[in-house]
Amino acid sequence: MKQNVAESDPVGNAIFSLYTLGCSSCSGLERRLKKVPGIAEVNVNYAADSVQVRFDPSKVTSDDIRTFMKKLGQPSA
Amino acid sequence: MDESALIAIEKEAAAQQVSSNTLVNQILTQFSEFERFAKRINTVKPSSFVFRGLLEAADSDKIIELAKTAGSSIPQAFVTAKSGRVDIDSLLDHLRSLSVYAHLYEYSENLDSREQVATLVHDFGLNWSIFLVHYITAMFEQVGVSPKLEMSDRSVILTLPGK
Repeated sequence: MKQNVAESDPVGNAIFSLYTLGCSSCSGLERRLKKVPGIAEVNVNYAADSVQVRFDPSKVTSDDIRTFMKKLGQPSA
Repeated sequence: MDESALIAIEKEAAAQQVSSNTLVNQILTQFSEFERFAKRINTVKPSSFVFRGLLEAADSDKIIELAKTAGSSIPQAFVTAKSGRVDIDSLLDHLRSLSVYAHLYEYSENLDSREQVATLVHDFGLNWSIFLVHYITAMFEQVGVSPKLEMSDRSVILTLPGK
C-alpha cells in the first residue's frame, strides 16, 4: 500500500474491527460511511470482519469515524 | 466446491447483504494476504477474552523479553515471505495486516510530507501496549529505523519521518 503524499495532500487511512464495534451486522454500512463528509473510500471486508476507510484528516478524524460506527452498531441507530 | 461450504457461504453472504462472489473473494484474499503466511509461523487464535486474561496474568519483564525476540524475527519472516523485501513500507503493511486479519488492534494512520503517524487502539490492557512498543521497536531496528513511540493502556502511537 505505498502512497506518495504531496505536501498539500495529507491522507488518512484507518482499519476498524467490525466485531469490536458491534457493527458486523450494520445494514448499509458502506453507504452510510460514504455519506460522512471527508470520507473518500470505504472497503468493508465481511470475511475479515473489518472495514478500511480512507479519509481527509483535515475534515474528519479516525476517532470521529469510530464514534459514528459505534452509533451504527447500537440498536437505536 | 463442497456443498456444505457453498450453503454456508450463501447463508453468510445473505446475512451480510453481499453477493456470494464478494464474500468468496474476501475469503480468498484473506488467505492470500495473511493466512498462508500466518500458518508458516504457527499462528494460533485464542479468543479475545483468553488473550486479555493471559496478558493480565503475565509479568511485564517477560512480556518485554518476548516482544523483543518476536519483533526481531517474526515480522521479517512474514514480510519476506509475502513481498520478498523488508523495508519501512512492508513493515507498515505488516502492522496493517495484523489489524485487518488478526484484530490485534484498530489501526489508523495520517500521512503527510513531514511525518507518518500510525495509531494502534486496543482493549487488551497495558501489557499489550508494552508488548507492541517493544515488538515495533525491534521490528524497525532490523531496517535501521527508530520510530518515536508513545503508549497508554489502550493505545500505541508510532511516528516515522515522512516521505
